[in-house]
Amino acid sequence: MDNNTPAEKAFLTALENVQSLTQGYSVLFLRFSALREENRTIEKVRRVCNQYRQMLDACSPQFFEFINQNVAIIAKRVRPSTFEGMMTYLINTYPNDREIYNTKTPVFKVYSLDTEFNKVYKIAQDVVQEWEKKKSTIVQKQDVPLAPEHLDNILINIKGFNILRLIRRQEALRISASGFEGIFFEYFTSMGDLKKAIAPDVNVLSNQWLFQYLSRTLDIRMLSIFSDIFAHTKKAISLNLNIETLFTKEFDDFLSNMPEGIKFVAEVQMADIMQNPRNYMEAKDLLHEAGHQILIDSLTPVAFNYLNLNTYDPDLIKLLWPFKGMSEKEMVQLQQAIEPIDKSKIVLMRVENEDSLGWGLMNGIDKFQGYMIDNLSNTICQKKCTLKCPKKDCADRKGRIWGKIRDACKNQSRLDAPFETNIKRS
Amino acid sequence: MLNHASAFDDFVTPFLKKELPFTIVQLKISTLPDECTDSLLSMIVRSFNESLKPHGKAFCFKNNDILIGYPPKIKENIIQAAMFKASMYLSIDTSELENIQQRFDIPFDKELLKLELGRIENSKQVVFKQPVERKRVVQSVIEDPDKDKDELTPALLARITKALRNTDLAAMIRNQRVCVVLEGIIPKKVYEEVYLSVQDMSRILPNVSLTKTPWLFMDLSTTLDEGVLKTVSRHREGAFMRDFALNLTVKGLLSEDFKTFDRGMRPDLKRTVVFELQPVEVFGDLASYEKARNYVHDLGYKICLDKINFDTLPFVDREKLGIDFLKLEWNPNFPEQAIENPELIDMLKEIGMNRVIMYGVDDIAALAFAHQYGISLLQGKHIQKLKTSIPFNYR
Repeated sequence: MDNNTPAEKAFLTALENVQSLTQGYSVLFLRFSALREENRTIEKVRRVCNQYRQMLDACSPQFFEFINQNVAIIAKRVRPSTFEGMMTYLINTYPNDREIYNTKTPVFKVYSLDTEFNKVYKIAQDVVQEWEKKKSTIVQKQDVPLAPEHLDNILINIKGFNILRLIRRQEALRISASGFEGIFFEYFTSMGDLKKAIAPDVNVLSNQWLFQYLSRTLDIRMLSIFSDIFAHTKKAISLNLNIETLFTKEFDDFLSNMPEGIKFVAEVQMADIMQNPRNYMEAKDLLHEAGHQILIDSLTPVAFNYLNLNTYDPDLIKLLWPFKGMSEKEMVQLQQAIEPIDKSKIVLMRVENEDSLGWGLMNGIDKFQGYMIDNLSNTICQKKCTLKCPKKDCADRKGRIWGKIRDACKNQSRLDAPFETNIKRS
Repeated sequence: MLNHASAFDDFVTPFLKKELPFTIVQLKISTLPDECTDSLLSMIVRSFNESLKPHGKAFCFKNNDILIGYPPKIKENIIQAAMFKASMYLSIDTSELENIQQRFDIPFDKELLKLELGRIENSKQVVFKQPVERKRVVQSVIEDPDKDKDELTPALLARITKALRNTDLAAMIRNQRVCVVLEGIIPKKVYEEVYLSVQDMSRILPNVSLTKTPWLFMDLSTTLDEGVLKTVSRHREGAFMRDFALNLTVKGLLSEDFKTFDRGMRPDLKRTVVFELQPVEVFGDLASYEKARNYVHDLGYKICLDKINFDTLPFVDREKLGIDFLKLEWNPNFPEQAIENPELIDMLKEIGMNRVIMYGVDDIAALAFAHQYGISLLQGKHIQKLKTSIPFNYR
């Protein structure tokens, strides 16, 4: 068997080799894939395996490291005390990982090949099957990186397809002592569906600048469906746009057709602002004159350390909820960095759990967007609706303005109703 | 260990004996926290010697302090330009360099000098690590296009990118100096920007404006920058060992190609090498920028934020961004804008005139503006012309 044989297949073959003489053989399964992300880095898995190699030195161990990070070890005449020592080592290595103590599907599981060969063989077959499945998806995902020669064809596709199909929306909320209030619906194209529609074999996001170039045409398509957007929005609309789009005739048409009472928020990117700050300033004035707003999109916590955001003077700023793994020090830094900013301008985005929401509220932020907010918005939407559809269906429908999925809703006006509720004070 | 003490004696004794007016500036490098290697010290000494010859000379002592001696006929601006270069070698701010300077005016400070020489003589020798190999590099950038030209289209970009893949870029590589330009002295080179000349590429770039479609232009720049870095790694022979700048992307600084490049650089020469980054990219992903900057600074290189104009200037906080230099693109409207918005000049002062490089200095008007507002780090065709002559004769 050569070095290119995957560990999954090698494991199956090794089992077949010992099948006729299983006496004294054990198999140890290490389900590293169940551990927390930081506990299953290649280095940590290797460290455990190296330690185990030493502990099993006298037992002719064979190690199989699978692609999903799980490990199987075949060894001969291992003393129970050795297995105990190995288990203790694992607990000591990951004292804080709850999964280690899971007894239903244990991380550390020993089988005797004497008595349980068939069971282990079945597991090994499953392992191979899972590997093959994974391999085929990896192969499928290997799209070509976006290159200049793709652009013309993609542009033709963008112009030709029904963009309404791809439109999704997400609500942003303001939370105050007296209740919740929807501040705007952000309309965007679903990237997965967009890719399928315009460039199935190309990874369109692999080249920042070329994608930015394509996005100008996407902007125009987005603006062209204004009547649908207006029909489904009662309060405020936000769109991600290139700054140069704000100076086009299409944008002009968009604004002049906007029903009275609807507000607009243009979400722009930092790179785009630095490309031409004068345009940004002019666009801001133009929007303000028409009673609308400008928002700087997707700023990471790190960005807040470097930017004097007051110089840009936007109406709103989106702060990406710090991903897991921010240290205490970095959290303090972020708190200090947002200190000079008017907190009522900040929208905390990617709010997915109570931690992020709590952090925002603690730090004087009152505007939020993310899965957790969608959930909240759906719950309220459902409560006010007489039809009792499954929650997930309701959420899918609310996130769209066109197509079969949405049409399944028999009370569509509720999907578009602005989110407002009062919390009863206790 | 360098010890030019006896050469220094030979050099100053005649002046001391005859009590001729003479200046000695001591750079107390021994007081700096970072260790200095022999080769770095010789580089600084050589740099002073080049600026001061034949009348003045620099000497390194066993405690690493450098003493520079020169007669009154040498202009203070020459000393200032040479000091700027030394601050770059030492990777410290010019104000920090001022803090470690001591000046002896001979014959007045004769006794003081003797005392100081005695102190150095009795101080401990400094032992340093020797650096390893050597290497060199190159770089790419595109010049301003003509406004009447055609727009860069995806098809054209595809053609150019393809052509570049099959071209040896080495032959197209050009360089232009960034100099300290001060009144009455010959411009002193700080570093040389290495880039790809678009004019040379006219064969594959017929009548095309690159700035009309900025995002396609960014893609082309990235291709060129990456190409130059690779070319440099392939063509190891050549002149680029130190005092040069390379345009790179943040992504490029974190790439394997960069690691290859870095492995070939002599450690103590790294601090004379500058990487020029685009604001669009830096501001577009500050988290990646932070990572790249820390990495590059840890290796000893310097970072310059390229292509700043009076529109982008207000958004740049040099200190927060941790950049060493900032490049301001000359625009003929500057004189007018500076009068209308004097706060722009205040911003430059805040950044520090020893950190601001004005480029595109192709004519006397740009030079005059620089001179008027005290911008002394300059780059451009006009500065190239001044290589061997003294500027500001227009006054």
